[in-house]
Amino acid sequence: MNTAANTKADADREDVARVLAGEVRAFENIVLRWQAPLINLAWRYTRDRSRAEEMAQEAFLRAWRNLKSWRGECRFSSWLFALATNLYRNELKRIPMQLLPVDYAPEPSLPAAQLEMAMKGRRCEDVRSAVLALPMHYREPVILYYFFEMDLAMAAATLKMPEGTFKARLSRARKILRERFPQLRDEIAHVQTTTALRPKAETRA
Amino acid sequence: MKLPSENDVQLDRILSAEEELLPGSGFLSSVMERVEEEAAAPPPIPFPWQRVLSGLLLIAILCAGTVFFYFRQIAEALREVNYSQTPVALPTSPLFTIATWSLTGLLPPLLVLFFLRRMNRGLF
Repeated sequence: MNTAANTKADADREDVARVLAGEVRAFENIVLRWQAPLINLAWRYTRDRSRAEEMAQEAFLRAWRNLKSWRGECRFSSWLFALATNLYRNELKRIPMQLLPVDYAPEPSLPAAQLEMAMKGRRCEDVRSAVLALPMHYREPVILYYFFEMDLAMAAATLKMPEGTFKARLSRARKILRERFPQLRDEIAHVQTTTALRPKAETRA
Repeated sequence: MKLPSENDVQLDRILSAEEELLPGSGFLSSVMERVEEEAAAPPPIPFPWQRVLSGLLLIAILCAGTVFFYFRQIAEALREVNYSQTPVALPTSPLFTIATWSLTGLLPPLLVLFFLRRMNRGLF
């Protein structure tokens, strides 16, 4: 995975150098490489596909305009994600999403056994909607933490935030979500009890 | 570095299992179209800071001159007034007048500076 990341980083460096030398088409490689991550990041901010694409497009344009300001101190991808995050945040401030406060997010009732699968799917969507209803300073850490596959350092660096602050906000956001969805806690407790009991039963057998 | 997430197993599972969007077929071409448009456009005319600053300086000097001239007139008028004979027809105390005129003189250049800074930051 590291090799792949390094290859991408090298390719980015080369393409940026080519763009800065005047070869506009080299920017296409950059877009090709990063279009999916940038759209998906925007999607997590908005949950609106067309708006996510518009925001990602704007992020690429901004990257194009400010390419000179990337001096290679960090990875190009880190620079690009920081730029995109900043833009997405400002875009949402400019035209906010139609959101319900966390307390108004729909809460599914306790599922009957036969409906459990369907309810689980619904619950996942509710949890994701509840993330969007969090205040921005709690929402962003959650979005970025999971976007970067729980890489705390990377997510904190993208927000240009000390890891301690990031951790504290993430923890607070999760607490709000747990309080909003107590059934998740029950489910966790159920999973933990089952896991704890299983080895004993196996030992006995 | 990962957070310990014993109590957040379910939350982690839900929020990690996010559907992945694939970029639309026209995404790349529309980005490149806009990039090429920008690349082909003539470079923007730089903001004439030198002229603006010299203009501001001139305004500031004029304002300061006006204020100074006005203060001098007030001072002369006060010297000439015979307090024992005629009541002075000044509406307020000289100190208040001086402060008012100072502020009036300083306000235009400050406003111009404020709006120029905002324009420079692209807020207009």
